[in-house]
Amino acid sequence: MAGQNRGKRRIFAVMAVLAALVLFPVVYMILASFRGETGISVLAYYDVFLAEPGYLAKFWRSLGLCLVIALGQTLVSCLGGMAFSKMPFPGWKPCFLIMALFMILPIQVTLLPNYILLEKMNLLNTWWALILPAVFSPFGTVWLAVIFRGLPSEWTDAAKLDGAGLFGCVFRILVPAARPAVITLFILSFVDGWNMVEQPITFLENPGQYPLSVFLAGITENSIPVQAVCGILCLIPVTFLFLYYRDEMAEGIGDSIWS
Amino acid sequence: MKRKTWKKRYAGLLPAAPALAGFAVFYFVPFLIMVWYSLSFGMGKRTFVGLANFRELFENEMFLLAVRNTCRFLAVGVSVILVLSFLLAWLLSRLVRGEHTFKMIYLYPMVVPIASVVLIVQFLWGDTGIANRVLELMGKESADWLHSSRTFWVLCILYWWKFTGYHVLIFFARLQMLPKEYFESARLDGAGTGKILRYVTLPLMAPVFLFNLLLAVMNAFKCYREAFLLGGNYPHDSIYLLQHFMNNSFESLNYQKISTASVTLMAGILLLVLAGGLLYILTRRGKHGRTKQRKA
Repeated sequence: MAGQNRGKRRIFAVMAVLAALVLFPVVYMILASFRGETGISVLAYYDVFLAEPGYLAKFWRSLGLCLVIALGQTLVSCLGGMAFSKMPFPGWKPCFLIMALFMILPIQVTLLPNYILLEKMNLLNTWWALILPAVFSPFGTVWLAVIFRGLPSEWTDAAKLDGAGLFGCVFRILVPAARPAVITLFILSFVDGWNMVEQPITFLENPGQYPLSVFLAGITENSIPVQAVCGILCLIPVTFLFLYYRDEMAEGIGDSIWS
Repeated sequence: MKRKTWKKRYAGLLPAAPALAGFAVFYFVPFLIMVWYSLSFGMGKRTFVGLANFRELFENEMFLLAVRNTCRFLAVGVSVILVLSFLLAWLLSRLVRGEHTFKMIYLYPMVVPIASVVLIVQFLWGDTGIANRVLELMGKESADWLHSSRTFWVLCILYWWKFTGYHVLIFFARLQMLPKEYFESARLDGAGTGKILRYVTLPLMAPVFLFNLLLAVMNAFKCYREAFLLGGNYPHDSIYLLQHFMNNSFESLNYQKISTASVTLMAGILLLVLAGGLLYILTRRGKHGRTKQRKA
């Protein structure tokens, strides 16, 4: 028994060291942001948050953009997930497999045809070019279909007998039952939008339109503390989401193995 | 009556419509256009040329380099991440406290934006970074980490840092679901920890490994951003990936090259998935055979 305890303590120690290593980059960035010419300074925070309104304006606009993307993707995927898991129509299987296949492909594969299409639709150089492809990304539908399939069909059947419509079945029965997975999808698509680089530099001509992710990656001439503060600014929304919904995320990602 | 059943059969199309239509417009039809581009040639009016574009592409040295590098990155990156995350999940499942906190800490890098990683890369692997200091302390010459064959490993480390936690969570959830009786009876039969891991845990985890493999490949393709961060459009040869090739062809508006490369990539992935599916079916069949034997 004592030996087993010692083994557990050893595992705990290894895990703790690894955790410290994993968190080190973020901790380093926070420390770097306070570095002044002599000792500690908050000058960099002043520069980014107060002296120049550009950063903050970009921040809020990017936040709006990503919320639209994440909400749209979640909505489309909830309905799509319902169809593919509970209401199989003829030919659903090939459709589903093709979507799953496209989910794995890198973004570059569809970048060029998307460009041609958006040009024809006169949507280039607008934020619709960033929003629309992201909203219809196949990942969400595939993910939620897998999750919803793990829920008993009796639930939706019973709801239908009680007179619930399509939306009732999806948003009153399936979504609450799979809450962690739906929240996880929302966060993952938010993060994907927040981190996007390829789409803006391809679809937008004017660098002034770039969302925060690309804009910040382009700042190189600044001092290290200012760069660090920008990095932190970028981290705030995703970290907030992550911490607020940490249990849902752990559960939601784990749930995906039901298939 | 007949109309009603027809309605019922196709009822699923209604909720599927937004997802299917959007997917068709922004992903599937564009892809079909690319297939046509890859098989034809000419500005304005295109004529069918068969596999000529593919022949030309496979003689392009940059493309071959990109394919080699992408395969190497996938092979090294994905196999290490699967082993590493399974090991971590297995160790975590043996802990009695703190495992939840550790899981969340390991997952966190997945949401860290690329812009926030720039600084730390310079700090660790820049000319005067930590890696070079360590080399100096060991009495070796300092190296150029960001523009040499070592860059490949920097890219791998970033990939592992980012996505290991995600796979740990999936493995961990499955490990928690395994019936406890299996382990108890194995222990009663006198099996040690190593033997239980080898003969009880690992076979039960095979489907999850396959699932994680797919997700890992998907995430590995997303690492183009990291590669771009390390070397821009024209990085060192060791991390010149397929996505670089396609992005650069895009900038020179070479539709031919990019479409042909896309179709090739799709074919490659299709092969990979088919091989995986076949493997899965074979292992499942093996298992069924065994249960039948036991019944007999």
